[in-house]
Amino acid sequence: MSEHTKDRIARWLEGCREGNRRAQHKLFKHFYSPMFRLCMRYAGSTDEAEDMLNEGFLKVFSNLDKYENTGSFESWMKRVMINSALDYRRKYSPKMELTDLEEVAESSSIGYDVNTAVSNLSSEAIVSLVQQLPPMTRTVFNLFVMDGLSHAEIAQQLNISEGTSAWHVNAARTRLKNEIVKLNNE
Amino acid sequence: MAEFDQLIKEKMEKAQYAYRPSAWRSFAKSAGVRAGLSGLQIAAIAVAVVAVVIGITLGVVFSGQPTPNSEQGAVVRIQDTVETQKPASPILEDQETVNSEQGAVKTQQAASLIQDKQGTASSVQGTVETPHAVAQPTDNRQRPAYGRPLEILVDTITEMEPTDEQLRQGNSRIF
Repeated sequence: MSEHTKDRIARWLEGCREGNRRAQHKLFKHFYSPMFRLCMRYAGSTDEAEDMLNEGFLKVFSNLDKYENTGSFESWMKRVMINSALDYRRKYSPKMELTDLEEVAESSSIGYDVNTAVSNLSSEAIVSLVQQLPPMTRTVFNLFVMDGLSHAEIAQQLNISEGTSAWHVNAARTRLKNEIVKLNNE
Repeated sequence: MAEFDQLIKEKMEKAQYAYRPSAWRSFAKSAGVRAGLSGLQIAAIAVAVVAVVIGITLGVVFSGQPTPNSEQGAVVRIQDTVETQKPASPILEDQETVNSEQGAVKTQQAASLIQDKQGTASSVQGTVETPHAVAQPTDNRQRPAYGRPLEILVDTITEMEPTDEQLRQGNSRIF
């Protein structure tokens, strides 16, 4: 990120802290794309992602005083967004972990290069496949693969065991591979 | 597995979502931030305007005259003041004169009663004469006519002439 961009963000943050709506709009517009992408990963649909984004930005604007200007603002914002997405999931799918634990049978993909199949698919298609995962599996997969949390951290965040976290990650991989094979065979 | 995860991650990070203005409006709506007047505010303003217009219309209809502006109102008030100070009818003016004279007579009568008790003869004469002089109605008094019109008898004209005693005293006034 260039110094010019950093300065602009710093000015917007100052304006946001003073309740300047124009600065809020600028900040929202600047970070819309990466934050909406994050929400699309955690959400089951575009509408849900928009709701998550709105709640996340509301928390960002409400908690700007807690940002101490030490690290990257985007990293801080991403953490707030992830926490907001988890809160959203807890609020609207409180029993998701009870309904997700089901056996996932891995389809026969012997001799089939799944990685090549992934490369052939568009980004939007992959996002759509992730959105079709069960809520808890999707959440754990995102936290582990996309956001780099360990199973211990995920277990603490979601109040589940580390084994359950590992199970969800494996279940996500299996489901994604099955769907990717299906798409490539069509 | 690690390669698969990495490929998925790279693919998902490449997904692009262009900014849409409706996204800010959606956020503003959900956060309660007003980018402009909300529908509720517009409705409240419209209701207030309609109520004011109805109120003014009803006021004009029931008062029977258009609502004056501030300058016209001042003129009307001044005119009212002038009218109250200036009697509209000479009858009323006479009546007020009579009332004030009667008041003066009563005051003077009361004063004469006090002076009677003190036994001053000269003051008694003055108090007796003064009421007669004041109590006489003015010549231009207009009294409403009731019943039959007044008939003037010619024979009584001579009785109106001054008596010899009055002529001696130098009083030529005809009563």
